Parts: sequence; C-alpha cells; structure tokens
Amino acid sequence: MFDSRDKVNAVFARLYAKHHKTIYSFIISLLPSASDADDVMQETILTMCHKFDEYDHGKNFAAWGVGVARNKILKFYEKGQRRKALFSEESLRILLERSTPVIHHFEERFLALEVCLRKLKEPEKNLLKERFVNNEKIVAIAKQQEKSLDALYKTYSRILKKLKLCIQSNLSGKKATL
Amino acid sequence: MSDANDNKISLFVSQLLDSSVDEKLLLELDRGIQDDPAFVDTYLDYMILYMGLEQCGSELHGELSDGEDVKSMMSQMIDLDQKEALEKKEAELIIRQKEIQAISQLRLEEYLKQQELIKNQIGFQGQRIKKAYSFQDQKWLTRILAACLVFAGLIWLIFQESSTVTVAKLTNSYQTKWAFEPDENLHDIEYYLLSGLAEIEFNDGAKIILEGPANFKLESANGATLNLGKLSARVPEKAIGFTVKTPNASIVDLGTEFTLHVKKNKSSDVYVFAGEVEISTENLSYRVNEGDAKTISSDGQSLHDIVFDRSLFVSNLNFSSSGQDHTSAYAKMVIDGQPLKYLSFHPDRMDQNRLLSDRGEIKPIGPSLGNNETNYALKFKSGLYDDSDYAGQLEFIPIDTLKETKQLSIVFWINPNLDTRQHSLTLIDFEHNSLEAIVIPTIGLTMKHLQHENEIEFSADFNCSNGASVGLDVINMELDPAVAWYHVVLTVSGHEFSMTINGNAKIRKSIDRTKIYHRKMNGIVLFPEGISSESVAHGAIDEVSIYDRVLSDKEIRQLYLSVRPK
Repeated sequence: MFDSRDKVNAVFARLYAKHHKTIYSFIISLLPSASDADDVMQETILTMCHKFDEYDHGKNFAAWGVGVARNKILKFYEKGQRRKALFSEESLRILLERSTPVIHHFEERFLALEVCLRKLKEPEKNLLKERFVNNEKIVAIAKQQEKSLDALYKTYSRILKKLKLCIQSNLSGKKATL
Repeated sequence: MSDANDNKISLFVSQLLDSSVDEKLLLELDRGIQDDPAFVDTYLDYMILYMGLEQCGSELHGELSDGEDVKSMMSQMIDLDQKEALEKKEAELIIRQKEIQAISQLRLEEYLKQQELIKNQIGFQGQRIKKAYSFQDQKWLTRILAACLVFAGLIWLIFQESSTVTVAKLTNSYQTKWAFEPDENLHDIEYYLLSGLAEIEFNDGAKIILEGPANFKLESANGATLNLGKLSARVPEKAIGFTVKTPNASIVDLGTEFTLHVKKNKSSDVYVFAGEVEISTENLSYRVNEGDAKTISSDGQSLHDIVFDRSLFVSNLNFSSSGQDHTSAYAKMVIDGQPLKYLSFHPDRMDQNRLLSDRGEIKPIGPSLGNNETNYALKFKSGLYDDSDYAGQLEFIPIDTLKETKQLSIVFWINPNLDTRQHSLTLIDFEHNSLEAIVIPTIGLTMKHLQHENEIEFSADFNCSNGASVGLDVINMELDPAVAWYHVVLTVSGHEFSMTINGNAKIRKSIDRTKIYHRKMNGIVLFPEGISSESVAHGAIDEVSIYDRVLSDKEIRQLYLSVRPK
C-alpha cells in the first residue's frame, strides 16, 4: 500500500501529464531551441516536483508551471547557457513582461479557442489533430501527405492565423467567422 | 500590425511546432519585438494560441478527463484507498509515475527514494509490467504476477551477468546511485546510473566518465552505447577506434578526447577537446575537429554547430590531485584539525565545482595563503538568486556526519565587496531534499558597510528548527581598502553561538538549549540572499571548512595568523 506522499506524487504526475505540453510550448516560444527548451523544461519540472506542496490547488496547474518556467528561462539567460541564437535579452525581457497579463487570461482564451476550433474545416481540423493530438511532427506529416515541408508550414501558419483572428473576435464580443 | 508581419509570426510559430526555426526569421522577429509594441502583442497572441492548442491536444488525447481538479483527484484517491480496487488503480499510477520519470530523465529524486530498488530495476523494463497490470483486476493475482515479474527480473539479471564477459573496470566514482550496483568488474551489459559520476576504464585503454542520469551498455573492450546521459572520453593511442553509439549515430574516436550528451529526444551533442572524431549516421559521415561541437538531430538526419563549452562536462574525477591549496600553511592547519568538509574551490576539484556551480564562478581571486600559489575562490554571481533552486539540492553539499553532531564550527574567508546596502549569506542549512520546510535551522552571515564610520559591520544569526532565532550583536571592523578578505569563524555548541572575525574580534551569545537541534543540520549551502538583486551578497568566499566541534580561541587565532591576507 502506498502512503500519502505516493498519492501526492501520483496527483502531481497526472497533472503534469495533462499540462506539460502547455508549459513546454510557453518555454519554447520564448526559447526557440529544442535542446535549450528541453533543459529549461527539465529544471522546471524538477522545481515543480519539489515545490508541489506549495502549489495552491485552487489555481491552474499550467499557470503555476508557467510561473516556474518563467524564472527558469530568466536564469537560463543569465547563465549564458544558450547553445543557439535565440531572442536577445532585451526581446526576452519585453516578452516576459508583456506575457504576464496575457497568461492570466489564458483560461478565457482557451475557452474561445475551443469555440473557434469547431468552426474550422475538416481538413484543417485533421491537420491540427495530427500535430496536437497524435503528436506527429510536421516533417512527418509532410512526408505522409507527400507535401513539401515549407508548404505545410504555410498551411499551419494560415490555420493559426485564422484561429487567432477568431479568438480576437470572440473575446471582443463580435461574431466570429472563419 | 501589418499583414506581412502577422504572416511572419504565424510562420515562425508553425515552425516552432517542430522545434525547428529559421534563424533569419528569428532575427527579424527579434528586431520587431524591440521596435514595435503591436508586434509583441501579436507574438503573444500566437504564443497563447500555441499553448491552448497543446492543452486541447492533451485533453483530446485522453490523458485526463475534462474538469478534473486537484482536490477532486485527491479525494477520489483517498476514497479509493479503502477499496480493494485501488490495487489496480495504484498500479496504473505507478506506471504513469514511471513515464513521468522517464520524461524528466530519472531526476525526480522524490520518486526514487520512495520506490523500492527492485521496483526501479523492473520499472526500466516498464512495458512488461504495464502489460501485466493492465489485464489483472484481482488483488491476489496482481500481487502474484508482480512477484513473478520481480523474480523473473532477478533471474534475468543474474543470467545476464553470468553469461557475459568483463570488458571494463569501474575505477572511480562520486556520489553514485545505480539502479543495480555493479562491482569493480563491468560486463558487456546495460547499466543505469541514476545519479553521480562514474569513471570506467575499458580493457583496451579508453577511459570514460559518465554523469548520471545515464543509461548505457558496454558493448566490448573498446566500445559502448549511450542511450541517455553525459559521457566524457579520453582515449589513448592504443585504443584509437574507440566507438560510442547513440540511438541514431556512431562516434568513432580518431585519437582524442571528446564528450557526448545524449538527450531524451535522442538528439546528441558532441564536443571534441583534442584530436578528432568521426560521426556516422545512416545517411552521413562527418569529422569533427578539436575545439568544435556539433549536435546530431534526433532523427540522425542532420548536424548543426553548437557553442563549444567545456564546463558542461566533468572531465576529471581525480579529486585529490592538483591541490596546490593543500600545500599552504593554512590548508595544512585546516586538515590537521580534521574538518568534516573542506572546500578550497579549485577548478580541478569537480565535487566542489559542480555542486556549487550555480552559486558563481571559481576564479583565481582568493586570499594569499602564504605559499605563492594562485588561490581560487568562489565568486558569487550578481543578481537575485532564484529561490526555487534553493528548494532543489543541486547546490547543496551534504555532510552525513554533521547531523550527528551537537557542536559545529564553520570557518571561511570572505571578501564582502560591499556597497551601501546590507548583504546576506546563508552558510549552513537543514537538508532540503524533501518537500519539508527547507530553511531551518540555518546559520547566516550579514555584512554592512557603514560609510560614515568607514567600518564593516558583521552580524550572524542561528535560526533554530522551531523558528526561534539567536542573533549575535554586531562586530565592527575598520574598513581598510588594502584588506579585501576577512577571516570568519562561527561556532555553535549546546549552549553558545559565537562569531570571531580576523582571529580575535569575538562576540558570543547563549543559546536556550530547549530551542535547538529539533532538526539536524546536514550540509553546506552557501546561498547568497537578499530582498533585491542589489542586496544579495556579491563578493567571494574561500577556504570553507566545517568541523563537528567548537574550535578553541587559540586554534582560531592560529588559523588566521597562518596567513597574511593581501
């Protein structure tokens, strides 16, 4: 039989399984290098694990993780550990500063996204499903669908743009169309 | 916001989905972010969209049902605890834990401590267990099956060991934790180094240092496969051709010293310190020369340049060598006093460097120890430290015997490098490798430059485990611009806390015996603290020694007088 610590760990593991991709996407958006983002993600998860007792269970786990990741990214830049060309420190500072209020409204945007996703065309939904549900790399999807990688990036780019506009309309109370 | 810029950002984010960004586009974005607030807003819109899509993806993937929050999960688990069906649920959760462990490269120490060793071992062959559990509902059947698997795992390990040949020897190690502790002779089998550093010498002469967590297989007397982790290799001439395979490449030594880091996404970084190596994948072959570093993509299809950085790897486990500090009169006196721990901060002493690497840099700026040798010290980095790391144990130097002592002395040289603010430093801390309270008991030092008096004010406090604190009155030292380093000795006995600066300025205070040692001190932390980045101690520290006894006034004076600081 397992003690209460095991249970806490199991809860942590389940929450982590649900939210780690969201946290990772935040990291890689600010640290666009897979190897660097992996390192920061590792540090983030380690700290989250250690500090799970301090986590306010009433709050969104992903938002908490993003807060931890934010500090880790800053520290990573301070240490100068970057292996690839990334955003300059000035850009990172601006992004981190401006991202805080946006992150606070993450839930709201997430709900709007769910509405907007339903409005996409089937082929577009399928492409998103391949990448975000089946976790396929776009390079693999391109091979599978016999399309050029550049063309597929552009297709994804168009879908993202559509969703962004829809979310903006939704949040501003306008009728969203796609 | 122009449509062209919007297109650029959306294209960039779509490339991020593959973690493969166009650097030219990145530079354009970087400029845009700095010049145009609307550009920033748009980028953040896309970033949040990306996060939202990942969140939707996870939920649709069925990793958790919607609407489940922590409280409901906790109560659900507590309810289930009383039912026999929990056995199955727990088995599933353990498997989930194992998966998360793999994601974080086995670094979730908390899990490792709580699971039995053998569970860890079989856990690495997790698929077998997963399969077995998923078909069993009955408690007794699950138990029998699990026991069978454990037994089968042991038999497998024994069989594997007995049918193999010795290809290498374990020649040195530092704080290692193995999934299965090997003896000195290493066989052509798979090993799991959970943490620590292990030095292995192959029969043909190549030497490697592995840094846990690492999963590797010794293939022959002149080759190995590294599936995960860091490896540093030194290959003598007789062992040229030494080969390390990764999940998608082979690195063949051509007379050299190189390091390799295989990550969980199966990409690898190769750094060549001397000579050259040949990297071969299914489709390409490439020679990497001395001073170069390459990363091999996770599919083995491409190679990219990366920044060459030797400090990322441990290349020497010879802790006792090149210790010029130990030859100084000061060091001899410290060692003669039989300290529990002595940190003199030399770049070659990896146990100290790596554990404290986050605190700052090892620089040749230490106080002169009277032996005309360059003396290194730990220069604290500037800026506010991330207190979340304080909860980790990476920078914590454990001293096992410290927890048994009722007496303590901590001795060090400090260069306060003060400005007008007060600067603080935590020196000793309770072990914080668990989720328990992490900051008590502590011993801390505070320094302040009193400009009007041209003095430095030293004070120290001892915080007991129940929150009670013993604060010392201050010692003021005249500020002499020619003296950068101060010798500080803090002692704790069952009844007294004291501080001595530069051999004779001493202050002491009684300790209420009932208030201390409810918890035990376990190690050195050296954590500069402050409420702002400016108030964090940003000087340097050197020659830190810890004793499990109270040093006498004579000993303290002799230590100070053995050195005339510049």
